[in-house]
Amino acid sequence: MVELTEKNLIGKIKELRQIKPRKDWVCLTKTQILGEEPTFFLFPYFKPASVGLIAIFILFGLFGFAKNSLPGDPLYTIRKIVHESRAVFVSPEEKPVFQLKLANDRLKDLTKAPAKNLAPTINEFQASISEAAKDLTKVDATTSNPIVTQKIVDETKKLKENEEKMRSLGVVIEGEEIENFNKAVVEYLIKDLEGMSLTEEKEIVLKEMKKLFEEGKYSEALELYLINQ
Amino acid sequence: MANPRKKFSKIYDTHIEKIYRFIYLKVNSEEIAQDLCSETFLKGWESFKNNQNIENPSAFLYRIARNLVTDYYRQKGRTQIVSTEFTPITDPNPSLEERMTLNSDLEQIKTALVDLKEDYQNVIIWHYLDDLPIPEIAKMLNKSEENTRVFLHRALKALKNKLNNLV
Repeated sequence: MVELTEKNLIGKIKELRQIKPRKDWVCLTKTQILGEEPTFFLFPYFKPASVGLIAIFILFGLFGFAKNSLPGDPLYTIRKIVHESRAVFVSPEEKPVFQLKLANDRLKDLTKAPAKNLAPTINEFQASISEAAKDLTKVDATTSNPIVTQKIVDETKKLKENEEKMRSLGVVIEGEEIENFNKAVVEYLIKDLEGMSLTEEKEIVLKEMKKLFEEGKYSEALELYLINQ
Repeated sequence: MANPRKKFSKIYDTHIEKIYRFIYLKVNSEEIAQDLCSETFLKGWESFKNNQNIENPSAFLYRIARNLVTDYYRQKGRTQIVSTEFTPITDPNPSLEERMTLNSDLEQIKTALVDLKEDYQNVIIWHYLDDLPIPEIAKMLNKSEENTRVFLHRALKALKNKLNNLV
């Protein structure tokens, strides 16, 4: 060894840092002293990489629970977000059908809703029906796809049936939202009929519908149409 | 308040290498260093479970390790009294193999360090290997900072002399 300066000596001392315990011994000793690392019961091999997977599971679980939630429940927000995200992919022509389906879902919810959820569910129904009316005014019935028109008619029919069911249960939903919807759907159907070659019988129905529409009897006009369908 | 197991696990991870090396440089045997090191942490954990407000975990673990090393040499001193019949006759002049080993710088430093008095060993290991600052070492040695600096200087000089004698 050459003559050592203090700096060299300190450098040589620092080389002793190479002395290290074996890694397996370090781990084993730790386990012997502290016991096994506590692990998450359902995920014994819980590692940061699993966090993403667990988050997905939780998310799916939440969606599952949210599916059965009612307006007024904390999880209903998730259900609403799902609905709204679906609405993004619906064409403007099909939008009234989509909103009518939502309105029907809310009416179905009403039948099983406990007292605390009644008011929020009715509000949601009114919001959907209002949206359906707005969307209907944007669709040109004369050029609209007959399949879409049929879907609108089917959903409207269901809506009326559900309303009837609710009435039999003692829940009567009234308001300008329903009236506006009736007006919008009757107007749409009149335009649709006007663009078609009709039988004599259908001509009479159309004439009667127009009369009722002008008198502001939208509900009766709609009923007339549905009966003669 | 954090889980004591988790807290001690962190202390273990931070100090295991330093404490092992500290012990190893004193006993010069992997097996004995492992035994004494695991005993250090076991005793540390037992104390920690009862009192988690340990101000300086480093000083606390080094104190346990030092006591265990002292106990080990005390015990070794007692048990090593064996008949001279079985004591190997050692050649005062190192063999070629021993000379080769000694030629390694690392081995020379190690040998010289082990040959120093205990407090000199400690102060060199703590300051130059474990990067403990002078104020902390001063507290562990129960000396003033100025005295610790002088002590460290003397320790370094003693190590240099030992190394010069080895060559």
